[in-house]
Amino acid sequence: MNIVWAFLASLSLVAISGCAASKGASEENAVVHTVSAEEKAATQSRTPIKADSAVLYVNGLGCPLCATNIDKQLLRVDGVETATVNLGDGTVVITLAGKARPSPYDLSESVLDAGFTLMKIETR
Amino acid sequence: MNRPTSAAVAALLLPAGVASAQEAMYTEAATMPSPGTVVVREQLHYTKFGYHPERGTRTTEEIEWESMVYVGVARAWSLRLTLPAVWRTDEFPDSTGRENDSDHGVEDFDLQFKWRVYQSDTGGVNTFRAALLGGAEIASGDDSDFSSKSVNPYIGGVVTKVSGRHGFNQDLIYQFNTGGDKADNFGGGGPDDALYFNSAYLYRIAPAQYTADSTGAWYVTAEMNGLYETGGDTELRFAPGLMYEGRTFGFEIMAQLPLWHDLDERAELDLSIGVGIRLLF
Repeated sequence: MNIVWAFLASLSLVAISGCAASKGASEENAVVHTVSAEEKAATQSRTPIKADSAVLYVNGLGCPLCATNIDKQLLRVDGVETATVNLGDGTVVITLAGKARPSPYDLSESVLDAGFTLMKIETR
Repeated sequence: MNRPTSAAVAALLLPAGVASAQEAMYTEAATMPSPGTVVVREQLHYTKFGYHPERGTRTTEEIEWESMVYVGVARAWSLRLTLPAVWRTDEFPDSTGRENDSDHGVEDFDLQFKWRVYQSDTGGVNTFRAALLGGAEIASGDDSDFSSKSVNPYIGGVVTKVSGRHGFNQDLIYQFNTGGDKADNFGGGGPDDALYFNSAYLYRIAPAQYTADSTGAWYVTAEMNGLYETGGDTELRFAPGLMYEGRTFGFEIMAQLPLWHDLDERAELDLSIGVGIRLLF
């Protein structure tokens, strides 16, 4: 029975953190990228992006280390010259250069490699 | 593992989001470095144990230096290697007439793989992830009492949820011990199999909200670290901590206190404190 008691006691943190998270949800869940089915589908396009910059709307960017993870991955994609992460609004602004340009699909895969989810791309 | 092997507290963590984002000090997280990314984590622990019935010691003090390397090997896959070095001093009851005994050595290595099997990113910050863990503690070759001189495989899982400023991790790991000595067991490193169950709550104290200029974050952590050994020994510890996470580095301050235990074959924890750093390459 000791193991059962100890395990249940350990799980008490679940309840505490669950309550805390629900109380703070309205304050911190402000960044929610609402996208249409078309916008989500567009992230899988294989057509190279012709614009010189794009804004990636990314879900799951929960920490500063995450930010470094995603920009390191994006900079490995051919054609991506810079990547600037904004944790405040969950976006990554990339600039593109050179002849080889990535497609939205390439960027989506790179974001997935980094451990996050690309919701939408806006070219500029 | 990042849990008490032969001494008590070792932990492994960092890899946050990246190899260690949203990862507390003693509890695993379902986060990992991306492919080609390396995270190095160093932790230094001071731990004091009370009377050890199998060892005959009144107290044991340990300083443990754990070096951990996390490597992202593929999408949703990572590896971690942990190398623990230990300096240990035993103090015996006066009635034995024995003098203090000091020794140092290298404990079993820990090689762990992590496979993220579920991921749901529901907001800019919010995510829920689950990962399977597997690996083994492998004899270090140390000829003193620090190595189990065996290979001890383990398997388990971990879930991570991040909602705004709040983070939660829960792991469950079962280790099949094939060697080990009761006298050298300070938690999970004896001949009995071990079940680890750890819960961690992280709260981002600053910034309250990320902005475009955010380059770091402060967290307080609270953990419940449980260990059950098939011989019957059971222990629950409370571990508060403070953590800073920047874009390429982090540091952490941690402590571990006894909360409840039913131990017949090994020493009780008096106290453990530690510091650590994380570097992302």
